[in-house]
Amino acid sequence: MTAAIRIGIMGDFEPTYHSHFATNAALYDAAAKLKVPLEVRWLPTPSLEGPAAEKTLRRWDGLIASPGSPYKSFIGMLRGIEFARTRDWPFVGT
Amino acid sequence: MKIADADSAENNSGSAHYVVTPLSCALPNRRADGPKASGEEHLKILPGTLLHSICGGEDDSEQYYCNYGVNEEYEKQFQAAGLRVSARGILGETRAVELPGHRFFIATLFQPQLSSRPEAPHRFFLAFLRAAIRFRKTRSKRSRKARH
Repeated sequence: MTAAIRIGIMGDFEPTYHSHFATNAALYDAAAKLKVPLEVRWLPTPSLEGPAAEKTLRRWDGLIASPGSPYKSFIGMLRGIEFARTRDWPFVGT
Repeated sequence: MKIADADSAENNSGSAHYVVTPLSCALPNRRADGPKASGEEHLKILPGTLLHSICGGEDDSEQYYCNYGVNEEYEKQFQAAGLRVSARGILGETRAVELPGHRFFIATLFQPQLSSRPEAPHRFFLAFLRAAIRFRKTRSKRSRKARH
């Protein structure tokens, strides 16, 4: 079996927020069409502030900056985006 | 951009450089209970961009749900820092940017996820997943090489 494509969503998941639900759904819609298994995890912005963040971010094949500012940690979000930008990691911010 | 105190007006930091500010115009199809930019807007995708190659043309319309956007006073500085505008609204507002030379780096004001459907996944997310799949292949090749 093909290994799952792993997508990390940087953001503070709020189940009642339609845009968050829709972000998960859009990824699964696309993965089903491409016939690839998908693993999605939300990465809370405060967890991206510290020195351990790089190790967390490297686990993912692609990174998304979620909608829904203000974030719990604006710095954490900026660090995450900076990682994607400077390390040439597939990234979208919507 | 080398602006040390660049911030979003949403954070109320008192910074002299808010590069993200409240949107000045509401979208024409704004929802009664929604933020300023909610509902659908027609866009122009700029030729020669990654977004254009994903969308396959210049005309697009997308769903929004937001109150803030790029402060156009900083557009030149964003461009000097390497960001390229890849979509504009009807009045020329910045609606998407990307980073040329990067394997896949696109930021949008609109939310393509709002118009994805199981029977019709959004091409933006299809393209992103394809990029992630390609990236994983290059990574696993590299780590195999490193072991030999």
